[in-house]
This record gives sequence, structure tokens and C-alpha cells, in this order.
Amino acid sequence: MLTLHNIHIKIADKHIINDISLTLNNGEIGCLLGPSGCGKTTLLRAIAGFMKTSHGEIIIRDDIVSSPATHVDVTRRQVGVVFQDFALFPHLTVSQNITFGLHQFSPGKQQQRLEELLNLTQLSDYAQQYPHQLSGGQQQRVAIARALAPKPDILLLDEPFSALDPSLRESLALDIKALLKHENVTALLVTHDQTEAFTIADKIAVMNQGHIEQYACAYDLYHEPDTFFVANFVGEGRFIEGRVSMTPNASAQLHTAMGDFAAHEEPVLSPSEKQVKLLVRPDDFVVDEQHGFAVNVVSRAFRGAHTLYTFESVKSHEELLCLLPSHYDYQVGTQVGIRLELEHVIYF
Amino acid sequence: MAVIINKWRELDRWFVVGAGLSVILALPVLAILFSYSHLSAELWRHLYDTTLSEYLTNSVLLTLGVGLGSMFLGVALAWCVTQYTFWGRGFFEWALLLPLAMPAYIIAYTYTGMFDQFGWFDSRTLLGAIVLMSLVLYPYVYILAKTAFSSQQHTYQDAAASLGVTHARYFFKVALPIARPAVFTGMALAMMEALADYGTVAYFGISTFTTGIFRTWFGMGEMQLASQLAGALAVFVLLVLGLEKYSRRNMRFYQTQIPHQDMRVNTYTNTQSKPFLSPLLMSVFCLVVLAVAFIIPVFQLCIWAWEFAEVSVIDEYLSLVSNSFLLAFSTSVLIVALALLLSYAQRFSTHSQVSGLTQFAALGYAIPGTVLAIGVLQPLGWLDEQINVLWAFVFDEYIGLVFSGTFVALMFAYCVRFLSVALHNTQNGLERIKPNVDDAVLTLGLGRLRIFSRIHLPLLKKSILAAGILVFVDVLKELPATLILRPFNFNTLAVKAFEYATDERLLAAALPSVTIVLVGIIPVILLTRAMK
Repeated sequence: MLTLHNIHIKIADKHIINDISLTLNNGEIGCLLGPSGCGKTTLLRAIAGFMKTSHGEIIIRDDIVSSPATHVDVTRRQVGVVFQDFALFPHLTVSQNITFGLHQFSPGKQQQRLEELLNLTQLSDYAQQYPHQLSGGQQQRVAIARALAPKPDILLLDEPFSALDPSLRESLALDIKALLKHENVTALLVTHDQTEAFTIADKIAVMNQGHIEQYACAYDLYHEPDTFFVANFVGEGRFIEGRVSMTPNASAQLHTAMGDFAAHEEPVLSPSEKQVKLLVRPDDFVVDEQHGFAVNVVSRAFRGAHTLYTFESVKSHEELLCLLPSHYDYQVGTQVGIRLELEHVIYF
Repeated sequence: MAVIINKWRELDRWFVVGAGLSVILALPVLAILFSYSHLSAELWRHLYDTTLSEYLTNSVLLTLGVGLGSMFLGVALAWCVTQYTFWGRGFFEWALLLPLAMPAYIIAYTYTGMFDQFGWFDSRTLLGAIVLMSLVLYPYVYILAKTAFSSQQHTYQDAAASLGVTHARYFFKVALPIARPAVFTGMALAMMEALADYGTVAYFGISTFTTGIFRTWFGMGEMQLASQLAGALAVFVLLVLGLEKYSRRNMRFYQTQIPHQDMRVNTYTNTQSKPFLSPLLMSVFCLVVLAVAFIIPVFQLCIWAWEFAEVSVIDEYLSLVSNSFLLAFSTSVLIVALALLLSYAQRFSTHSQVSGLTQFAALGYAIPGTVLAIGVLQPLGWLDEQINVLWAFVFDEYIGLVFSGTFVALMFAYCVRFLSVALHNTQNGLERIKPNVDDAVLTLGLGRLRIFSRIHLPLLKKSILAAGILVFVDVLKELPATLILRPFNFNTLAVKAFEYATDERLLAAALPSVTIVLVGIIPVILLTRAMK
């Protein structure tokens, strides 16, 4: 449904987007995740047609809408956009806002589509209200209904939850996901918040400095990050020093202060070694007072079912984050024995 | 004692300030209303049989025409300047305010003189008056519409564009409706100016309410009937005001965020789609309006002034300049302070009546200068009388006129007349600051004075400057009230210019006229600087 081929975008001779390619299939929800300034909003605006690409192609359905030679105007792209501040027209009621893009429909069809969307977004009781009379969550639903009204092939959402109460974001995100799936619309959202991305998206593109580091589902990003940036940006975790030793006709080994692990390396012809950093997630630890490694408790944060500890390794002085069931109750300053149980050995 | 202190604490001081100022400023209006206490059926019948319908038709047509004319020019120019990139846009953006400096009566006799000179056609018609007045009054709409358009969030355009809405449709469906309160305010100001105009219609010999009032008073000597006619005129103004207020109901849209001052290119004009007006056409449009409304008449006035200028007239001229400038400046400072006080009274007072009282006080704007002068003289004359009675009782001597016939009377008249110009601006500015901003600052432990200096003043800066500048220019241009109320031997540029022009001494009128216009430019430039 949406394909990006080697997109480059320059603004005032500055490369904002560098060689980005990705594909979204019909009905999929994609996400551009990255720190602020990584170019994710620029890319979204280019897809919407607000700005031109300097190289590469944007293909919606089977039509090239952006390329160095063509630029289909935003008004003719049939792409729905939900803005960060919702951009609801303050002088129009909820109904008028929703039907704003339906000017080419007959009045009967407009009414039909309006009622459909009001029911879907549970806004029927607010149809005659003005945007400033609504809560943030309701405003967001109006914005989405307005963008969906002309049945666009693609819906683009720019930081759709940033203007909303954080405690509501997750439940709202689930509602929105259900709504998008119900309408079977292909959607791409931009966010810097990974919880949002994980909740709503089927596929997530982690962006950094204008390029995509990894394009995968949430599970893979967390457990099998391709790059150091992704490993660091997605989820919590720490890196510890390690050394990979490779010998011909034997499997490679990763040696760390916390034990040895099987390393995944191509076979080598002569023995060699390299220094690496091993990713350890907070859920990679188990308590083992007898055979574990000694760590000191630096700080702790109680989280109900779990407690997140910050440890410091006694031997190597490396900092570790560790999520333990909360019936373990260690005070700051005490010494604990822990063991690493890695399901995914990720090092760079 | 404790009871009195408690009462004082409970007293809504903002209500006292608002109501007190409003009542004082409403005195001339009340004086005119009191003139209805003696209605002469005979005089009114005579008026009805002869000229009343002519006054009515001409005044209504003139007002509507000027309202529509200045709306068309102001909105179209503001839209071009805020939306498109074209040759000279940066220059036109501020230069289009220049006609503010051109009083209607000056452009009227300049063009009439030019047309007579070339013998093209006679501009002394109602249509001529409408066109010429629209040309100098459109900046009221332009300046407010421009601010409204440029403070609209960029994302509205993005949203409309992504919904397949064209730029033209966006203008009519989103931009204009959201700017409607501002446009109506500008139109209301222009229409009130048109209703109150005396100089132009008098020079053109068009019978409107203002010339009728003048004729009734000076020609027929019927001061009370003149006052009553003015009262009738006030009804029309009330109508305009009422319409403006009505149009703004439910329109208290708070700006949820300060719009980005980023230099991002306009969504519509950024794309390859052709704007519905070509850039060249926009340059030409702006240039033509500016030339006709300002450059050509100023050029003509300069030529006349050059032909007339001699050393002998310089002294008179310099004293005229300093008189006018000082008067206009001190008056605008006073009026802006009053307008702020009243706006705050309206905001902070728990009494809902303050708003109505303020509106009533601002009605003075609509009163023709001639009649306002009478409205001012009546209460002040009464006050002078009482002071003299009291003074004579205590000191056994008379001190003469204290208020009437002095600057007090003149400035009082200006306050009544031009308060609404300032008030519109300060009210609009204050309305844009959410009330919960005040609450937020109050809870931070800052006093109301701090709220004003640290929060409101920076946010209101544009509104206050706009208010001050509009009042300054208005006072400089004001003619009929100054003509009547000025202290003995005190002349202003406007008074002299008009006196020469009515004597058909256009060359002599040119020097003070061109000065009014040129001095009027300085605040216009300051205004545009502050708005950047």
C-alpha cells in the first residue's frame, strides 16, 4: 500500500532524510520511532505531500506520488493526516469538522458517513459541540474521524498522543488501534514514545539521524536489535564489557565478568579476538546467592509486582539494571548474588 | 471600624473603577439623551417633510458602502500579504497601513482639486465619498485581519490540504470565518468613522446626518434638535455595534498555543499547485491601492505645498506642528491607560454589568464631533458653574471657566470619542489571554500588578501599541470637535487645513495637510516595527 524507495530529503542543503526505504502492506499499522530531530516528522510530511523529496520515490497504492520528476499535490493525494495539536477548526462543530473533507460527496452520503464515524468514535452525543468543549481524548477522536471520513488509503498520525494525559495514552492507543483495524486503514504514526509504538504498531522503524536503523516488530526490536543504537534506544538495559574469542573449527565464545556465552560468529581460519559490549536487559537476571556474581545495591524503585534495582558489580564496577519479583527485598548498600540468564546474546 | 474595613475589602474595586469611568465618559452621551426631554413635534414634522429622508438614505448608503469597501480592500490585501510571496510583499505589508495617516477630508479635496484641474469628472458624489473614504479607512480592517490571518495555526492549512480542500475554499471555509470577529471589528470601526465624518461630506455638499446636524445647529440655531438628530444617529451606531457583538457570540476561541513564528513556507503556496491569484497580479493590486490611497494624493499635496511655501508661513506652521503633536501624544497615552483600566475592570470584576457600561461609554466614538462637543460642554459648563458658586461662597470672587474652553474640555472630548478605538484593541488582546493564565500566576504568589507587568504586558504589547497609534492618528486628524472646543487662539493642523480648503485655498491647505499625513506616517512605521 505504501512503499518508500531510497528517500532523500534536503532542507536548505541539509540532509534531513538519508536513503530511507520501507513498505507497509494493506491494513498494517507502521510506526516511525526515534528521538526528536531524527527526521521522522519530516518523513511523515513528505509522505503527506507537504514537502518534496530530493531523491527516491514514494508510492501509494501503485501510483508514484513523489519522485524527483513528479509531486502529486497534497490536496489530491487522498492521505489522511492527524496532527499533533489535532488542528480542529475552532469555529466548526464536531459534525462540521468531520464532514469538512467530504465536500465532494452528496449531502445524503455525507450524513451517512458522519453517522458511521460518530458511532465508531462514540461521539454521537457531542455532534453539535465545539472542539473547545471537548476533552483531549474526544478531540483526538474527532481529529481521527475527520481524517478517516474521506476514506483515505493511508492515515498518517504525527505524535497523536503527545497532547494527551500520559495515564490515558495506553488505553487510548488501544482504542485507536481497534478503530484503525476496524476501518482496515493502512496507518503510519510518528512517535518518540516506545510504549505507544509497542502498543499500536505492527511494524516499527527505529530512526536515527535521518536513516532507519531497524524496521521490525516490537519483539524483534527488543530482543534482537540490529544495531547498538536500537539496543540502547529501545527498552531498558545496560552494556557490559566482553571479549569474543574465535578459533578455527570451534564455536566462538564470549567472555565477560559475568560468565561465558556462546557467540554467533562466522567461522574463522586463524584464531582471533575482539572487544565487544554485551547487552543485558533488566529481565535477564536471576538471583543465585551461591553461584552468582556479587553485586552491590545502588538504588531501587518499587513497581508493584517487580522492583527495579540498580546494581554495581563488585568485581568489574559495571552498572546493571535488574528487574526482580518484588518479594525479593534488598536494601540499598547490601550485597546480592545474581546470575545472567541470556536467551538472546546480543553484542556489538 | 472593623465593619468598614471589611466592607472595603469586600468591595469589588474593579467594578467601582469600571462603572465610575464609564459613567464619566458617558456624560456627553447622556447629555444628548436628555435633549429628548423636550421634543418639538413641529420642528420634527418640518424636518420629516423636508430633508430627513435624504439624511437617512445618504448616511445609511455611505456607511454600508464604506463598510463593504473597506472590508473588501482590507481582507483581500491582508490575505495576499499573509499568504503569498510576491514582489514587494515585505514593503507592502507595512506600507499598506500608510493611508491611516490620510484623513478622509484631505484625500477628498485633493482628488477633487486634481479632477477639477484636469477636468476629468466630478468626484463630489455619494459614490465618490464612499470610494475615497474606503480607500483611507480600509487599514482598520487590514491591520486586524492581517493579525488574525497570521496568528492562525499552520496546522489548519495542513489539515485542510490533507482533506483535499483547495486554497480558495480554505479561505472561505476556515481562514475567513476564524478571522471574522477581527474583520467585523475593523469594519465596525470604519463604519463608525464614516457615520461620524463631517469634513468629506461637508466639502462634497452631501446631506447626511452630520451635515444635517451642523446645519440644524448653526443654520437654524436649533441646538436641541441637532442634539436629537445626533441621538437618532446614535441608534444606527448602536445597530452597527450590536451586529458586531452579535457576530462575536460564541467566538471566544482561546488560542491554545502561541503560533510558531517559524518561517515555514505556506502549505498551499509551497506546493506546485498554482495560487488562484498570480503573484504579479498581487503586486499590481497592492501597488494600485497604495498609489491611489496614498502616493498620488501625497505627491499632489507636496507639489501644492512646494508652490505655496514661503518663509513668512513657517512660524505659524511650526507652532501648528508642535501643538498638534503634543496634543495627540498626551491624549493617546491618557486614552490607552483608560482603555486598559476599563478592559481590566471588565475582566476582573464579578459584576457582569461592567461590560455593558463599558460598551455604553465607548459609544462616544459614534457621536459626530460637532455634537460631541455640545455633549461635553453641557456637563463641564454645569461643573464650572457649580465651582464658581462654591468659590464665590468661600472666597467671594469668581474664577471663571475652569474646564470648558480649555484643554480639559478638548481632551475629555477626545477621550469620549476615541476610547472605543483603544478599547477594541485592549479587549481583543486581553480576550486572547486565557483566564486560567491569571489563576496560574496568582497561585504562584505573584500579585495582580506582577501579572500585568510580567505576563499581560508582554502579551498585550501589540494590542497596546496598536491602540496608542490608532488614537494618535485619530486625534491628529480629528476636525469638528477640535474646531469647536479648542482653547482660544489654539490652532491645530487639521483645523487650519480644513479652513483653507473650504475657502478653496487648496495651495494653502496643502502644507498643513501634508504634515498631518507625514506625521501620521511615523506612528504607522513604529507600529509596523513593533508588530514584527
